[in-house]
Amino acid sequence: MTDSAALTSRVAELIEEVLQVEVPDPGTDLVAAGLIDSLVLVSLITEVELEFAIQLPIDEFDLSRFRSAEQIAAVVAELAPDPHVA
Amino acid sequence: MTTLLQDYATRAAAERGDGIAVALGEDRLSYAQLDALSDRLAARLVDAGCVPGDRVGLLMPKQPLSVVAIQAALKAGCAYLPLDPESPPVRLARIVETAEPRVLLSVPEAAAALDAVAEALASVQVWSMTVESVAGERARSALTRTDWDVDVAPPGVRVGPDDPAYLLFTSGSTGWPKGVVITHRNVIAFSDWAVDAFDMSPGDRHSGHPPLHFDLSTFDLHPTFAAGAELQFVPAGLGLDARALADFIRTSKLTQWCSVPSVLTYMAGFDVVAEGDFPALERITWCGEVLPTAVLAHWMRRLPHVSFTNMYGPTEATCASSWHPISAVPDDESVAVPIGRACPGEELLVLDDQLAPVSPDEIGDLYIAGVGLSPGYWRDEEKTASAFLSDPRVPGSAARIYKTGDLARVDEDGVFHYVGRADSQIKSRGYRIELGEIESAFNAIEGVRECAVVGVEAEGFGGVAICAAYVADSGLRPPVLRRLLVDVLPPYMLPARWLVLDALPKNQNGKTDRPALREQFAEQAAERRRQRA
Repeated sequence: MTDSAALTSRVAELIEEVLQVEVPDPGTDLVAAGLIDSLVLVSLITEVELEFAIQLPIDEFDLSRFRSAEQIAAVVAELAPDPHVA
Repeated sequence: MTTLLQDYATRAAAERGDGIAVALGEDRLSYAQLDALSDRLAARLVDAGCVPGDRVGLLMPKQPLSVVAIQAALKAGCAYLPLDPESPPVRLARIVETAEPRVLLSVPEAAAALDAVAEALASVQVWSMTVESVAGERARSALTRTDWDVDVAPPGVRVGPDDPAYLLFTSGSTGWPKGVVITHRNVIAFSDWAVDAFDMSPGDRHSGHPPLHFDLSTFDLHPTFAAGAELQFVPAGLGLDARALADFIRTSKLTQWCSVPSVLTYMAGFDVVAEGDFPALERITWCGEVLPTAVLAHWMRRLPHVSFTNMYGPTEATCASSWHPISAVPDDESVAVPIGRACPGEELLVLDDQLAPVSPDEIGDLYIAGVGLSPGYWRDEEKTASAFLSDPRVPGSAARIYKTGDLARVDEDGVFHYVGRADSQIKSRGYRIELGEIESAFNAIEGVRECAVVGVEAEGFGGVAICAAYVADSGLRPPVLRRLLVDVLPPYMLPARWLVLDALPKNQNGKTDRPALREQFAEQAAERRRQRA
């Protein structure tokens, strides 16, 4: 498993564990699929920040880049070059 | 003097027909256009058999055409019934079956919702509001925009001021939404107050943030039209993006912004408002839930040129029954913002179990009396009788008081303070949610043996989190249940936190021990924090 695949699957697990939202596919746009709305998205941001010990640059952050497990994993990889995925 | 709700926009059309009545981005209608289009649509509604007292459903996202639909329904002597296209089909179908609209007005964007509730619509005429006919099973005979785009005489129907103007369905504790009937007189009393209280004038540009099925939209629509001002609908997608929302307020040059506290909290959390931002903005008001004082202080420090007003009131008393202008940045952020004093013509009462007034600063049940009170719930005498009581101060009269279900106290100065809920209703993002409705949805799922839903004060972004604990057959993990619930509950009613238990905690009476459950949820959150530390 590549690092980015491992990270994506860790993000998908986090979404299921913490938000109890099923992730049908790592590429699924969770907002468009009706699985999460704005409030859940806000909790997701908080959870991702806590889990990976990163801080999203909230004042310039584009929320449309934060809608699928893959996209979120890419954001995490960018902000935390060596995320702990164990 | 205005006696019927539709007269506000008609008066504005006569006085300043070219002025913008309502806009959503580039899609806008002047008062003259709004008046002419709604005259024509009203005539068509009457031709189609609508008679005074009928309901006209609106299944469409908010847009200028929905305001045409509202005005047309009123001009045809009917009550408008806003329906949420985002609501799950079973819930929507139940509302349509209960309210029995004569005609349902829709748009192509809502075709999926129409198809999904087709069964319930069997006896309802469905019309498309735009040139394209709605692609819905039951909308084959759709009347389209071209059918009513020719000049016709307005129908000339006049109902009485105590006839219904709209019906709104709110969450019900027994598992199904209940309809609140609001009359022309109710809304006119509220609108005239709002225009006066906020000194609204034709130069105002007011936000339309909440969807039309939410009672705060009453404030956006009718006082704005009463003032001859401009209603700027906030595009629905902006709810996700605090920065885009701030941009919208800036570029639309809004003068008055009304929303639920969660929106103000969300924007403060993203820190998108600069010092002295929104130079055109004069007033911010909110209603529907408690705004954290720290968030209010943040906004007040950023926008010293803006006035801030808290409003309080249930749907049953027409949007707002009391108000509290905040004159200075609160110095103690741990003290909640009061709900203030009653609006003119309304009364707030804090009473004990015997319906006797309590002493100052003593907590009691909050009741409302006066001009805002709904005649009652749609076709539900039992619920009406249990919530709307005879006024104990004037026995034998027709005067009534409404039991809000809220707990409150009055201070020595006569200012009212909200204390909490007396029952299992909570407010989340401004939506009023009966936890019983969520529990009913759980219990309807095969394999769920027992469940309890509680509200727990959330950290961070504030507000109340919906927390669900349940006992079920194996395999019904929370993600599986959540997916099933998405089909029956609107997104704002989905639990945020979950507990799967072998048995629910019980108190001495054998009832679910809700305080114990709340503690378990708090423990769960603490455990999670420990794991991360």
